Amino acid sequence: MTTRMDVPAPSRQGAAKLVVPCLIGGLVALSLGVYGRLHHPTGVAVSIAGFSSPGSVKAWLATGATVFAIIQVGSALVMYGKIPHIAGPAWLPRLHRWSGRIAFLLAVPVAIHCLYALGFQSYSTRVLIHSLLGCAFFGAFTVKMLILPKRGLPGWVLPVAGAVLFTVLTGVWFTSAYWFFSTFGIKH
Amino acid sequence: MNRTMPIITLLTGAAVGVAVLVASMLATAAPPARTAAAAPAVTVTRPSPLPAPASVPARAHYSGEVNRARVSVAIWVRGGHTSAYLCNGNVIETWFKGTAFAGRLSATGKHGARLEASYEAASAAGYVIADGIRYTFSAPRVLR
Repeated sequence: MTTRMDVPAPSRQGAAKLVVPCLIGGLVALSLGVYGRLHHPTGVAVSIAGFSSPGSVKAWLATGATVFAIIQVGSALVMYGKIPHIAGPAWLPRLHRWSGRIAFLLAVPVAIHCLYALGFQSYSTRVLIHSLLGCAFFGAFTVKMLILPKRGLPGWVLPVAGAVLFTVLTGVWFTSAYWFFSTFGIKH
Repeated sequence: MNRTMPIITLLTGAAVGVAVLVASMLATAAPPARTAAAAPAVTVTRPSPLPAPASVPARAHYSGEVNRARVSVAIWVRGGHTSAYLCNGNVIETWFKGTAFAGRLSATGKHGARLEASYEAASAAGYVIADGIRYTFSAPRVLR
């Protein structure tokens, strides 16, 4: 009887560990959205040399983040043994961690530029989806970072968190960089 | 894996974010602050990029393409007023309304869109911000 009782307990306890990270992540996403809504958009922000416009800087940074996110999914699939006949090399976890860090750090300046210069907007479907997903991405990333060090989580938690992050980032990319490149052509 | 690394990642991202935010605030706040401080003294003598008001037309129409993108801009000047239209025949389309004075055009459109330009007898040049994209242009005058 005690063993029967004990079996689901760690799983439920493990899932309970998600509550605080999810609340903090939700707060991060909400704060970004509220800031983007309240702050009067300036239209311009700091620019980076070597690109024709802030728009193309952002499109390329977002594309870089998305490429590293694809590396994230690929390395995670191998680490979880989901790719048949491919055993992950020893440096794979390091690749996974560093590609994630780089993707995140590439996305941060883009988000700040968006929030500062353009704000949270809803005047078209593309812009609304982009605003929502952009805020959600940083909330989801915060959740993933906060749950990573936790022990005893259910096995599905990290893969689901990673999948959500990748899906959201892909949505962010399609509603911004893809729109930019398809409207203006691929250029610097 | 070091258990503090994810927190360090988050904090690094937050630090980068704050740095970019402060840089943006400095980049956008400095020019208006300087203008505001200097405005009372130099209103009359401030050097203008186009210091020849005699060549500024009261009525004019300019039309051209923005730099490095297939987007057209058309600008009308009528007395002290200006209106402008930006489009690429597809997804980009914005109307602007504003003022024209002493060779300077300043107009705004929906959703934070903005146009700033100088104009003279032969052409108008400046920049447009619409949909988060900044376009520079130099449009020749359309004569009829």
